Amino acid sequence: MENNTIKKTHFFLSLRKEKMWLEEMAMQGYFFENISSSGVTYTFRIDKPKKMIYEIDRFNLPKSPTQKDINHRGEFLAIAEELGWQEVTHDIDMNYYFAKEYEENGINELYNDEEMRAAHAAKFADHFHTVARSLNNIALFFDILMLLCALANSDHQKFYFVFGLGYSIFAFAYNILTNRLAAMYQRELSMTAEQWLASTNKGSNLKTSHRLFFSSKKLEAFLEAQSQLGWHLTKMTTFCYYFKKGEPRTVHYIIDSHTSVNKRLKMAHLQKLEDAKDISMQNNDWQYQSAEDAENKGWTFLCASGNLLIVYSRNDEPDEVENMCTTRFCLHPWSTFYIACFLVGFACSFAILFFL
Amino acid sequence: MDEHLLKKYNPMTEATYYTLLSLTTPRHGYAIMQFVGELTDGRIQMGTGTLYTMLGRLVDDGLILIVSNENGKKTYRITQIGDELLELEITRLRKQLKNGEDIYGK
Repeated sequence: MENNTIKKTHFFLSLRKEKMWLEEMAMQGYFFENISSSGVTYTFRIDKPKKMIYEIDRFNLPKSPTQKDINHRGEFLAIAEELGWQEVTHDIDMNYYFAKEYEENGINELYNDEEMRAAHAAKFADHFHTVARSLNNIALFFDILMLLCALANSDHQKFYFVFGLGYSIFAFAYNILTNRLAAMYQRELSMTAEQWLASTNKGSNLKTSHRLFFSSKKLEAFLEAQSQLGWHLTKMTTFCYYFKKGEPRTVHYIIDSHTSVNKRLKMAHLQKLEDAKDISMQNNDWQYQSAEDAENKGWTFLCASGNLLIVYSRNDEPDEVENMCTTRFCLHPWSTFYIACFLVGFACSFAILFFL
Repeated sequence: MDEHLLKKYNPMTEATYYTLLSLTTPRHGYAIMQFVGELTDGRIQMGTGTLYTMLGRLVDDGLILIVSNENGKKTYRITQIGDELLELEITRLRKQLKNGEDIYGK
């Protein structure tokens, strides 16, 4: 190793953070030169501190590339070089690192408009999705292979089953991870540097809670207690509740669903809504009816949990009639069905494993 | 004029318009970026990604062509088709401006 280089080890999930770190290092006089095959050891050249801009990009080839697709990288590199971007190196995943000296009033981004940023972000998301998809295919092939082995070889059946199951669980976990990474990259890279910095700094104003509620009353009580502490609901899914810091005050929440809409209609002696035909639940009459009711009653829309629930806030306490129309369960029958299927499937796999 | 090209480039985006304008004389990538930046007082900044995509698309559609290529540094110039489309766009913009001035006042 030469005297004027230094190695540093750092692990990044976020490309934005990696880019920022490289830029900070350059300000201290460490210029990024190379990255190890493990992807965590960075080699820096020591020189006079300078303000540099780093960008990370990739050149995905489609499954059956045309000559144009193959030439794409060379042509892009030529234009990038003309505009002052130097290719530093690329890592083992073929992520290319570009560097450029900071220019006052110049263009200090490789992709400087919204459309281009989105395309850049999509490349990384696409990479992750492709990796996940190929792993899925391998898992399927592997499971069938293990099943055939188990059938052919009755002595080591358990071994094959455990192996197949283990690999499937690994593939499943890996899939979840890559999908999350893809979503993160997509979100981060679609933003400008300023937007990204603002979004990371406001973190202390946001909070996420993970809970599972079966009863609407309990959920309402939970949300109300949070609002008294100054945490106001902004978004929710079945398990996650997202809050934003505000002034502590009591907010009354209303959890509206298909059931409560029908209850209200029944009270008013109107015909019930029958919109359970669409299994994907993407087009429901109850949501239109609910929005209409909310407008009449003066409720404010807060968020929806999938197509199952809508959460409203209100200033006054609910009256007698409204109390009778509330939803008792905040989980949709389908969710319950999915959970039941999962549990039965799990029990069956165990039964097969240990009683064969 | 190709129906498809008319649909795609009439009206055209500002970035396309200024790129075509800059290529009425032969220019290479960096010169295009500078020319467009100066002409619009830095309002339209042709970054690497934008420039690459734009030039690739215009060459594919035959609006511009590569006149020289020295070690990957390419020089481009507008073609007959590009000229016609640029003229159509200028006529359209003139009409648009006239409509605005007529109704909104000067």
